[in-house]
Formats: sequence, structure tokens, C-alpha cells
Amino acid sequence: MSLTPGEQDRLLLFLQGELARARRNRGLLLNIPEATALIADSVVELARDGLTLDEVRLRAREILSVKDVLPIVPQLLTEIRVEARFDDGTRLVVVRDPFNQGTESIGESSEQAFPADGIEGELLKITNTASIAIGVSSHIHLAEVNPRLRLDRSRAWGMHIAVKTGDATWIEPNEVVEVALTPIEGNRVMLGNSGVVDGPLDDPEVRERALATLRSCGYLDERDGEEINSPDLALGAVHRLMSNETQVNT
Amino acid sequence: MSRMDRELVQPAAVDIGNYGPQAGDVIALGDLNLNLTIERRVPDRGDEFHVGFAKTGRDGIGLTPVPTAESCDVVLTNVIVMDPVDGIYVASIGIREGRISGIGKAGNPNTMNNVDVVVGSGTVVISADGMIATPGGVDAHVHSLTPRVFEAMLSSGITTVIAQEAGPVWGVGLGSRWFLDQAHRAMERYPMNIGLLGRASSATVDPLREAIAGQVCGFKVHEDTGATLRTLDTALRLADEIDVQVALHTDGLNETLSVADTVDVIAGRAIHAYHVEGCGGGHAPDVLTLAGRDNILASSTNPTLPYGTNAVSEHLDMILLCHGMNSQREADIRIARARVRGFTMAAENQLHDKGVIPMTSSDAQGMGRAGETWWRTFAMASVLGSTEDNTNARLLRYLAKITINPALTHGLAHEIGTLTPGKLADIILWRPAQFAAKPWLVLKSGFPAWGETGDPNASLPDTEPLQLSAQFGAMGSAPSELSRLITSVAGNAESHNHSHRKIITVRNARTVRGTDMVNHGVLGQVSVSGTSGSVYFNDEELLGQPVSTVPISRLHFW
Repeated sequence: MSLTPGEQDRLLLFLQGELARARRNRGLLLNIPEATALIADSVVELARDGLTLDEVRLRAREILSVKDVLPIVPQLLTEIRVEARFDDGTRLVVVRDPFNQGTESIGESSEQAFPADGIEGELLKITNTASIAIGVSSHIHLAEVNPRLRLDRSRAWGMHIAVKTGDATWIEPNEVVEVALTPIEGNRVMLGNSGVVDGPLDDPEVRERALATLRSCGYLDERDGEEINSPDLALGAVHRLMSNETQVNT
Repeated sequence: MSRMDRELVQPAAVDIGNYGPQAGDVIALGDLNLNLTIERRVPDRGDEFHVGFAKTGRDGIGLTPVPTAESCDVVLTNVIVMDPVDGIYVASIGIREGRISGIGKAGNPNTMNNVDVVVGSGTVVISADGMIATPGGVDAHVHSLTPRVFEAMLSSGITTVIAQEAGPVWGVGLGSRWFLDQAHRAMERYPMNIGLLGRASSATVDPLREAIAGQVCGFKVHEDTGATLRTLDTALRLADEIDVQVALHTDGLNETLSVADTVDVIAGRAIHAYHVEGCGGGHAPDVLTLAGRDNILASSTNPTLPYGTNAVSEHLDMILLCHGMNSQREADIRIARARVRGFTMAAENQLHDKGVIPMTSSDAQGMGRAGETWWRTFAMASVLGSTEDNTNARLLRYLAKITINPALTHGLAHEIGTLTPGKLADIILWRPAQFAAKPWLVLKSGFPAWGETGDPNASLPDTEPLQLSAQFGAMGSAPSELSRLITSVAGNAESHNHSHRKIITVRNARTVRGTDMVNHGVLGQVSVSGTSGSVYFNDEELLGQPVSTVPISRLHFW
């Protein structure tokens, strides 16, 4: 048979599943390892029976109910992960809400922008001129974001968007969003990102040089409502920044 | 600048699982019925460091492009630090070259305020958001009769062991330097700190000096090899000379010493009284009266924690089998029966709750269970608890029993026992639901050494069947780099070539006192009446009924 380590683990899971079934058949309420094993083992066999991944995921929630387990188990055991061999090969099965309590939640809104009036009046308009959506995450230095985003980069200087840490604002093609701003903290030294800053954010020389460089390379910008650089310059802006080429401002 | 906006960032309850809880959050611990309250959180509201897609753990945001010498080798992010001394709070833990380098707010000081733990662009990140981090457990009473006992301990969250054998020997301390040398070589493969006790049941110091040369970390005096006036005094005199602890299993027959005489022989010197309740052995029925004294540091072994309905029934067989006795011989049965007393078991539990007995241990393979000290300690906290006393102080009292107090007792607290910068990064990460039952990850000297592993062929590391087993720190020659051999200063001075491990030298094992025991230190007079079957602490009778069910056990184990 030339069992692989993964197959040996499958047999271990089977043994556990069978022991859990035997205990359940004696009328016992199952604990965490028992319930986990019984569901995981059943999932693998449903796949063996030829069901699809979507079918198995649904059926998996009906294998046990809250009545089959110790009362505290549904609070503590909220997800089971197991890999099963389907007709198209091995697949990951994630069983959320394993006792079918209607608590499955996936894809909660990640856009929790601040209410505009909470942010010291600092709102900034961003327009996505690209043909694809662009995400701007909570703590990226906003002045250096994708050249295809048109925004007042001088106002974005030293700032990040004020959303929950780790969240992102997605901007669809041709969409205009208003984001709240908040200053980057700490020593306010920017190393990395586009590399255009490479120094203290509050040094006026660094600021002017970097903003001028971005503009001259073709990053879309805006000043007092007036657009700087035409959208076609965005393509190649990063290349120009890398190769120190500048472009005459429009 | 104003941080008013930070107040809007998020409601506290949402954050668990993203980057851990906020101050004031209350977290349940499985079925323990003990609540953990977050006392404080580092000031990172609004720029929490965490890793992943679109997260702050990226170069130019939360990472700073400096070498690890200016940042750290490993960072554990946003963990619930549960420390017996410093309390329960949310912070990140930085680790450099195996030691805790800092605990606080993690991130990049160029873009974040109040950074305590600088995270470099090369720093290894262990995303521990919402997990509980405790110091590695210290089990100061282990009989290592088979090597896998260490696997059971690692799988339960123990990283430091004071052991007494190497193989199925009549050990209770080892005296042969040759045998000790082989034992040290073998134990190098486990990612743990391991010390071996020298057998100190000897009328002269010569066998003890050989054990010192064999790099023991302390001495064991045991009735099965002789716990007499002469052996006990010999051990204590040499212990005073070289600064190590003496672990004592007293004279259960009261053959040459009664408990009052043992106290007189100890004569105010520091000593570790093993299984002080007595069913593990020692003066029957009153060895428990050793507890509550400043110089006698008492511990319990785990089968009687908490005191359960089957405890008495189990122990008769356990004693007969463990101590080479014969169930057909009247005298042996009588001795065994004298050792198994429900009323002292009940009293022992009460003395733990009062802060009189400061330590728990396993007595693994010598009448205790290697992998059960963590869960039995907290199960005891649970069954003895009340809603009025469901506090962090209670959790930390019980945590101290299995971490800092055995470390202090055996002279190891300068290296282990708390989560403190400068100490070895021996850290257990627990999911709150599985706290004290099954660790998620055991870090030995800051390196993943043991923990939950899944189906090895799977697309994710954590699919069923999950097992507690070796991580990379238990592989190759990593254990000998990460682990420590515990020995005395004198033992360390011996030339040796039998272990590649670095050394923890025992310090201050002779000056440690009961009042030094963290979250304990309650002294007083324990009295035991064998005839009435009652135990008093000062004037209070200690009563307790055995419990028929205990938390953790049925919920988490097959």
C-alpha cells in the first residue's frame, strides 16, 4: 500500500471517528475531540461518496447537532478543517458553524471608514483612473499610492487613511471616494514604499523634492482642485521613478 | 497630535481574533468557570501591529528595515500576557537570541508612537493575536523512567523539569557520575531545561560529591533509600556549601524520625517538601504539617488535585505498585492504607487555595501524571472557586504554582518562571478555549519547539487530525542549542564533554523562603489529627468533599 504520512493520519482520524460514533451510540454527549473527529471523518467519507465540495460543506453541518454534544461544546468548537480526497483530488473542507446554529459568518464588511465629522475636517478626495479596483489599506503612506489614483498628494503627505487598522478602502474604476486622513506617527521617518521619501516626513526639503519627483514622473496629483498630470502619464510613472526620468508637468 | 480620532477606531469586542482584546475585556477559559480580565493593553489603539494581507506588518509601515540586532529575531504579536508577577495584559513579546528582549507595543518607531518592540523587516513574526502567553511550566518533581515522559510534558506546556532518573531504574536521584553522563547526553535531544537530582541518601558526602561532578542540580532524599537524621543533614550541609535545593520525601514509617524530628533536622534550612499531603509518601499521617513554614517549600503532586471521588480508591494500588510492595503482605497493606487519607487530600486543596502550599508538580511515573499538572492545577482553581473570588488574582495565584514558585525554589528564577525581559523565552501559547488543557505552541528559547501539527499533506498547517508533536525546535541539533542543562556552580566548573547544552547555574536556592513564594507566602500552623481525621490551619478546620466531576478533563481529552 505504501502508505504516505497523510494517509496514516487519515487512518488515525478514522479510528477517532469510529470511537466517537461508538460513544454517541451509547447515548453519550460528545466532547471537543469526539465531535471534531466524528465530523471530520464523515466529511472525508462524503467526499469519497462522490459529493462535490459545496455539497460536502453543507452536509457537514448536519452530521451533529447541539443535542449531540456537551452543552459548552458549540461555544468552543466553531470551525473544523480537514482535507478530503474528492473526485478531482484533495481539497480543503472548512466546516464553519459545525452544529448548524445559523452562526456562520464570512466576509463581514471590511470597510469601516470613519464618520467624516470625526476627523478634524481632514477629508481627501481620491479618484481611481485605472480600469481595475485599487485597495488602499489603513496605514500606507498615502502620498505614495498607485500613480493611477488622483489625489492631492501634498495633503496626503505624511498621512494615512483613518480606518480600522488592517482594513482597506477599495476604490472601483472611475470611482471617487472621500477618505478621512490621520497623520503617520512615531519619528515620522519614511523608509521604503516607493523609495521617493527616504527620510523625515517633516523636513521641508524632503517633502518638496519627493512631491516634485512624483509629479514629474507622472503620478496623478491635484492641487486646489486643479488636476496635475493627465491619466495617460500614470502608466510608466513607476518606471520613470525607478530610472530617474522626469516628465514635463502638464 | 490629537488622538481623539483613535477613540473611534473600534468597539472593543470586535477585536479579539483581529489583534487581541482590549483593556476591560473578559475572556472565558473553556469550561473552567474562571474569567480572565484584561487589565491593560499597550497604547496601540489605531495602529495595532499585525501581519497579513493589507495589514500593518509590512515594510515601510510596521516593519523597519534594520537588522535583527536593532530589532528582534522573533515577535509574538498582540498576545494576552499572563504573568504571575506582572498580571494579565495585551502586548507583543520581542525575542532576541533566545531571550525575551522586550514586551510592549510592537512596530516601527519611524511611523508609530510608543514602540517598545522594534520589528525589523527580517524579524520572524508569530501571529499570536488573542492567544494567551504564559511562562513555560516548571515541573520540579519528575521520575523520568522512560523518555517519552518528556513528550507528555511538552504536550502539556512544561518546559523545565527537575528529574531524578534515566530509565526504569530504582532512582530517586542519581549518584553515579558515569550514569549521569549518559543521562545528560540522552536528554539533550529534548527542547527543555532539564536538571537531575543527585541521590542524597548517604551517610557521607562522598557519593554526593560524585553526583555534583556529574552535574546534578540538587539533591533528593527519599525514604526508600533512607531519609534519616544523618542522610538529611548530610544533604543539607552539602547543599548549603554549593547552593542547590534538597527535595525531600520523608520517613513514612516514622521509623527513625517523626515529623517534628524531621523539622528539627532541617533546622531552619531551606528544603523542598515533595507531595506534602503525604499519599505520595512521607510521615503518616501528618507530613502535611510541614506546610506553612517559612523554610519548608511545599509542593503537591497532581493525582489529588483537585481532590476527586476516586482518588482514595486509586491510590492504594498505586502505592503498592510504585514502591515495590506486595498486595498479599499484611504489613505492606497497612503501610499503604496509612498513606491514603481523604481528609488530608481535602485539606491540601484548601491550603492551595489559601496560598499556603505554593507549588504543584506531577511526580510523573512515580505516582503522578506527566501531562496533567497544568490542567489539574487550574481545575483545582475552578472547583475551589466561587463567584466572589473569580478574579485575575486567583488565576495568577494558581499560575505561580506551576511557573515562578518552583523556579524560585530550585534557584532558576533568574532564567525562567516569568515573562520578563532578559529571561529565556520559554513561552506557552494557548487558545483561551483550551487554556491549561492543550497548548497551541511551545516556544523553547523563543523557537517553535512543540505544538499543534496537522495533516502533513494538507494545504494548511492546521487540518485534522491535529496532534501535539515535535516542531522544528525538537529536530536535528536544535534542542541542544535551545535547551539548558541545569546544574550547580560547582557542577558547571567540572570539565565535561557529555552535553552540548548551555548551562543554567542554580542560584539562591538556599536563601529562598516561603514568604518569597509569588502570590503565596501565607505562613501558619498546620496540624493533623490522625485519630479524629481532621486538619487545622491555625484554628480553622480544613474541610472539603471530593468532587465527582472536574473541568477540562472530559471536555478536551479522549
